[in-house]
Amino acid sequence: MNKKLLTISAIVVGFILAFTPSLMVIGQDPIYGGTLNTPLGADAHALNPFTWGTTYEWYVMAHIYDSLVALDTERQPVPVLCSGWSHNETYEQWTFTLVDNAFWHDGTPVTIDDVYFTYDLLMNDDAIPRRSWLFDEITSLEIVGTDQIVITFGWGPKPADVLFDLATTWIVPEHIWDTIDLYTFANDVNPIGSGPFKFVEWARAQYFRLAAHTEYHLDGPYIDEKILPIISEVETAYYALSVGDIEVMANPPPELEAVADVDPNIAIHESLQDYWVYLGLNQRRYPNNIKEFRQAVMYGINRSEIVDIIRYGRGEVCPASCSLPYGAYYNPAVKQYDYNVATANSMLDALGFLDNVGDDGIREDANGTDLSFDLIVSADAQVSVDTCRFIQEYMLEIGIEVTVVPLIWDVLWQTVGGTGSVSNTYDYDWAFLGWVGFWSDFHPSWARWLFSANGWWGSDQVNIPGWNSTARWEVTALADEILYETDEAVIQTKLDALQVIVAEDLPYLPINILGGTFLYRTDEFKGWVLGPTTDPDNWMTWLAIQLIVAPEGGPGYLALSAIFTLVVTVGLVKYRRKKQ
Amino acid sequence: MVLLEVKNLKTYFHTRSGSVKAVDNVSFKLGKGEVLGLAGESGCGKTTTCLSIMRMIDNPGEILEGEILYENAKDVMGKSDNAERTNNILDLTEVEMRKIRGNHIAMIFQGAMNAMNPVHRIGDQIMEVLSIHEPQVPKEEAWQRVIDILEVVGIDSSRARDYPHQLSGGQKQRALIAMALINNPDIVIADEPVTALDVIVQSQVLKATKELQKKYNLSMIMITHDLSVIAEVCETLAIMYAGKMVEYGKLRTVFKEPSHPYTQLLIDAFPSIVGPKKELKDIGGNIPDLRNPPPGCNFHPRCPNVMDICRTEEPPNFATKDGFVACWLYEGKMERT
Amino acid sequence: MFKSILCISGLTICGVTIMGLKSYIAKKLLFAAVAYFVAITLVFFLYHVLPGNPANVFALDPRVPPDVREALLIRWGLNEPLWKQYFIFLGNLLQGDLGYSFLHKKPVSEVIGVSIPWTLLLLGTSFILNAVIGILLGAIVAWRRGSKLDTGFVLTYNVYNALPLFFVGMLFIALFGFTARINNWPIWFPTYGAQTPGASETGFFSYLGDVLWHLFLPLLVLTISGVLGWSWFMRGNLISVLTEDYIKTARAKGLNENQVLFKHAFRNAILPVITNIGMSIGGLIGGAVLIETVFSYPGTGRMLYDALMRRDYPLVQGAFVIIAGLTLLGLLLAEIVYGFVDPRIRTE
Repeated sequence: MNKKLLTISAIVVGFILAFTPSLMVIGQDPIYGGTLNTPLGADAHALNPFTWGTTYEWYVMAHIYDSLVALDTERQPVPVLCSGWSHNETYEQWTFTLVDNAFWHDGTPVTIDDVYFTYDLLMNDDAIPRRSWLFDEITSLEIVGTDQIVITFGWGPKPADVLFDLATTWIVPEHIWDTIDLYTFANDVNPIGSGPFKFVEWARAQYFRLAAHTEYHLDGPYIDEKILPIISEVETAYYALSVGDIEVMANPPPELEAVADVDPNIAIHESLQDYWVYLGLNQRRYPNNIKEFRQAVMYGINRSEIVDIIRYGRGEVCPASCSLPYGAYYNPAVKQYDYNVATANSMLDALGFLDNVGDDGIREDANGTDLSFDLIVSADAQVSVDTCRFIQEYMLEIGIEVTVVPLIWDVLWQTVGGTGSVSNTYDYDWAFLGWVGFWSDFHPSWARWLFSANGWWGSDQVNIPGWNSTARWEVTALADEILYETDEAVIQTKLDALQVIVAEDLPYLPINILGGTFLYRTDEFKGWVLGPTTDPDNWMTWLAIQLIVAPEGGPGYLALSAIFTLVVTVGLVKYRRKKQ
Repeated sequence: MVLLEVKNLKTYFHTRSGSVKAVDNVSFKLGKGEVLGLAGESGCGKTTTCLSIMRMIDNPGEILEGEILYENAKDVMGKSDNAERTNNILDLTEVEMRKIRGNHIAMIFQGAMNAMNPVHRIGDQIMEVLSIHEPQVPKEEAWQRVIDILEVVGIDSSRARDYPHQLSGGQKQRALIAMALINNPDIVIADEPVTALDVIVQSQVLKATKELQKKYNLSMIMITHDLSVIAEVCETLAIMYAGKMVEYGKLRTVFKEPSHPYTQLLIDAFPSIVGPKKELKDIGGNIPDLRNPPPGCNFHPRCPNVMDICRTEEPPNFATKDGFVACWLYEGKMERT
Repeated sequence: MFKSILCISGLTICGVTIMGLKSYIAKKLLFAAVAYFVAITLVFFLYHVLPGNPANVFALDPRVPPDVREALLIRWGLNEPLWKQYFIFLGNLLQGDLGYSFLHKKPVSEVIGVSIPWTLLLLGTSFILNAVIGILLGAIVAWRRGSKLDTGFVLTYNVYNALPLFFVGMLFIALFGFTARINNWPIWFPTYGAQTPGASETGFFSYLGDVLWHLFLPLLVLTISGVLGWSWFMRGNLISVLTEDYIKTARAKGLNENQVLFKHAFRNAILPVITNIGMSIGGLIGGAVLIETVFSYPGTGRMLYDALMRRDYPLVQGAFVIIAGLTLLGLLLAEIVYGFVDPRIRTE
């Protein structure tokens, strides 16, 4: 795909968006009952809370299982299976009180023994794949009375660490899990949890059926039933949405999103995702290891154009500090890198990288070698390849030659060191990659996970950008201090300082944060109003979606004609891509 | 008695670049019990002439004009309108024509190749002719007739249940002859019947053919480019060149005293097994493009005796001792027919 | 008396016939067995030599705990030298053990067992329709060569072949699943899945109807391309058979056109079609992966694609072992049928 074609299509989509009315149904009271259909993009595998692999398993199990606490939409911990919690002054001892009216889906009551069983299992088996690091730090578990569990840590972790990690730890029933081997348990026949939905049926590769748990101890879901058909093609899911087979879908293709906006019965909900993409300059190599060079490259990339054209305006430019801009820990006072070719050029000139040889428009470095780099990128992600082609053009404007090399994911990941293999040679110049799920919007430990040389991703074994300046050690020290800090104000200060260093030194060159989009039918469901069954993040709010009365709605002829043009366009574009 | 008479037959093949005049104004007669040899180079219209008689010319071919009068054509017509209709088999309906094919006029194709269907037993293929034309004959009797006819052509009856690939070339040819004979046809047309066979088998098959022809008093048309085959079985001989019949007459006359320069060249081009050794000559040049035949005589570009008139005007037929020849050489020497 | 002679001669010939066919089938069986052996050997070594081989996956996958890894390594003999592993693999295979899918936490045979009926339903139905309609259509257009019908067919074949299968699938979904419903056409079809959730509780016939209704669109896309392919092949064969001398012989016998077509041309033209079955099975499986994905159909193709994406190597290996087996079985059946239809083989 060339830049021109993308630009034109972005203009067309923008035009359609600008001239179409958006009808939202707001302020209606929810009505109970009904079936909600919302698709999964692929089939789930074993429904095992301890070994799950993909978001599909996770999504299904999130309906079935509950944890002691959960996070609300403001990322604040709220009780779910517990009625409350307390801790001592040193944060070493935490006490949780179990609610007295929770039931497993097979009718037996949830007891404190179940909680003990689950935590004990996680505490004593560090081979369990889906297990928080928190359980390494527990020294003892104790049941007090009939409804309390006391967790003792060897040191005092911050409330955020304890509550956020317990929010992602599902409680399983002891009477089922004490007899099976948790490593080989497919749990696909009748998984028993205590969550708001009961498992009814799983027709493999076809659909899941979930029914509201009528004995749910909190207010149950508004809807009676939830069906998760497994629809491979996102276009097909869109058609299903248009004709009312499904009521909600996530991340429609941008081309179709514009069509959805024309349909009076479909509303769009947009959000930012905890997913940002970056340009990784391999700092094991010259001149990538020069800070000013990295900054010049950053100035030379028109990141807002990438968001507008390649991402159809979804998402935003990522701050240079690699921090999500809407969270509590974001420091807006860090260095910004607004697109500026003049700055980029003068910085490169100052480095002495001039076009001395051959007058070919390509600068040479101090050794007289052309500034010419291979940019490796995942061939599976066309959007990423398109972004790289844009970067290639921007770089040419400032005298840097970039060759885009699409690779299959395995090779790419191996090359940049993501596998942590000790024999890695890190043989690449630049790479285009992304990070997902570092919780920089609400979790104080995010910077440690991402940057600390003592963590996994920042360690010498992985360290994808090959960061090795003094700034790296400053950041590592700050991040490690935050780990043991309990004073929120101090944490904030240290994270602010850390972000300033990162934005200045640029271990990663963050490009943009991806935007998430949901489409939902306003004639059947009200949309994004949270019900009583809150869940960890915005992504999950559709668990609580509310049914309203379906209004009369005729076919949208405008939508119809727009769809036909777009179906053909999408088909042709896809065909071209496959051919390439 | 004339059994079959072809008059001014024209069969053209319509192609995008023009009509191919495959058979152009051909006339001849075939008497009862007569064996007519039809000779000429490949592509001169021998086979098309015979397929026209069978009315098996496929698209894009078309029988443009002419008459093919068959003595017993009335046999296949409905009783009611016999009187008004002629014997011209070109006027028969397709349904009536089907009763002629295989029943009154049978045609044999080159047997050593795949003139027999490889997936059916030869007995069944022979019996098929019976079952079409005489469906009233009971199966066992029909099978017995198949066995009998096979014995007649010299194939062991045990081979009736064999498939064509299990037979030798000569046996296949015999089986084809059996297929042609089983319904006692009036006329048998044989298209290059022995071409791909080796010489010994050739002569065996020809001998058998001749015997059968005599036994049943068959009329035959034998298409071949091999004059020695003709010499062995035929009584009359017609020479074709580029869609036209250039000479016609008794075998002996044509062989001994060939009138047309082409006939002379053709005979010179064949070795004689019994005669004195002579040098073989080939006829220079190729047959003309039948979409655009040369003006005048078709043969004039290759003719050693070419005259001015040959280049402009088509020769008429001149009567010879017992036939005719189409050549300007005989203008004034012989009667025009 | 004649009858008895006929019977005796028939019997002896039948005896010979059966002998020829028997050795032919035995030869083909042996060949199929060898081919299958080679195929599974290739599958085995491909996955053990290529990067991302099972041993490495087990060694590196953080989701597989050490003791499970150990147990699996021993069970699959992955700690043994490659040649020994190979014999263990063969031994397990003989006992019907295709391995263990660590993604599904189930035996591979069980995982495949769930998806394969759907694939067989889709591919089997499509295959039968392809063969029957394709051969008949091919015969008709060849017989009317040059007619409007034939020209239309040639045009359709070329246009349809130029379109990628998934594009046609998406177009059909848009047309018969979406436009039809938006515009209240009398007939429309589901855009995804193999059944309506809960349909199996509504009684046998209504369930069957629901399954067939869901089957229709994917089947249509697969069958149109299959029918066009088969009839194109059949058309070519029949056109060339119709120029053979035995067709002239048949017409010279006085047979009418239908008799010529069905008794003489048809059977000869169909012989190469039978040998083509093997090729079409491969194409069908390739098409099924695409079609199952486009229509979100729960078949083995889509499952295999998923397993490849998720690097569930035992499942991939098991699926290939099964698919190779089914393909070779289809080929074998085709060759046996060929032996019955073509006397040149049976009487050799």
